[in-house]
Amino acid sequence: MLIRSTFFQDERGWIDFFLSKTALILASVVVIAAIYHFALNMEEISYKKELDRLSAELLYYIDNVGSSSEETCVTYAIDFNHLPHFQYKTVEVLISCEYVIINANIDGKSIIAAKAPAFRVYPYSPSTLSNNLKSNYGSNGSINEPIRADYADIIKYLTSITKEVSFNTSNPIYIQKTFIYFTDDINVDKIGYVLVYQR
Amino acid sequence: MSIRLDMYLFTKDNRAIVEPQNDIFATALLVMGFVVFACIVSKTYLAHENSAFALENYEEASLIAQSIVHSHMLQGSRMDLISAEKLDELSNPQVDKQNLNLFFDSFSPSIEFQVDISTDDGVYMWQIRNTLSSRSSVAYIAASVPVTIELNPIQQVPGTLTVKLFKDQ
Repeated sequence: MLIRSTFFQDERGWIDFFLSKTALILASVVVIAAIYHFALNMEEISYKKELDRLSAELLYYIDNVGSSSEETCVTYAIDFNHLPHFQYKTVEVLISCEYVIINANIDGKSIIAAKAPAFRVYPYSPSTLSNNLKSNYGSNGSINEPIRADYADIIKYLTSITKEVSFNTSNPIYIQKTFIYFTDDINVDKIGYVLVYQR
Repeated sequence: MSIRLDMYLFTKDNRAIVEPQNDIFATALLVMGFVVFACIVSKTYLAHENSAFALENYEEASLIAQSIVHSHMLQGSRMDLISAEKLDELSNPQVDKQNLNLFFDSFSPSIEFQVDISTDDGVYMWQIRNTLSSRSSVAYIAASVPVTIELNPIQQVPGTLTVKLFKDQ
């Protein structure tokens, strides 16, 4: 009873002062932490966007060559002048049958941008493709030497021997559309592949 | 009169009940401001992501459409014509399943799409779909290209080829 009356009769306002200032300090810490995280997230998003832009550009080149109805070849080189965040950073380009992956290491943290091309990709040179087909089917799949096999079998074989290939970003990347010809001894048909390689 | 009186009382009030809590109100306002700012930035980012996603996939769908237009599997008597006879075969998988599989196997297995071709007068319509596809999603990005369809050796009509690319966002 005595304590209660002291508490209510205390008009110095110290409790009020301490409570309000503590709440204020806590709120400030929370707000500053939120702003700091928000800024960090924005920075990470800007890195990711830049990598996405790079992968979209490379994918466009691959799809553009893939959509061609003729055998064609283009050269693609990464222009790091347009990538201010990655000018002095390690950027790795990995290409497999199904994905184009760009991986960058920023302060020990890995940032990845992956995209799937619309066309069939074989990340090796024309000579490697020709040698692989010749060693497995006895023909190199050119119009003069069509493969005597089902196309599904050819796709399965090429997919099984394809690994994720790493590309050196300082050298140009060659993107080439090629056709693999196959026959059932009556008709000759073809299937398009996009070869992505470096010399 | 009543408002004026209230304002007068507020400015002449020397009891200072609200004043010690001014900084709390200011902090609350700051927090609310920050939350509103973060919401606006997030919304803008999401809207940008959506439009970038649509634009990027539209390019892909458009390249697939161009590739199909020039595909030897649909070619008529000339390079620039699409054969209605071949469309009949491909749109009916029971007739020639091998050809339909070859048509879709020319593309990466990681993408799924269907092709709708129709004459501009709306009389003929074909739909080429992958029978192996198990996708139930209805979200897609479409790109169209104008084509000339060869109905028979003496009749050619204008039409549209549309590629619907199914994508998970």
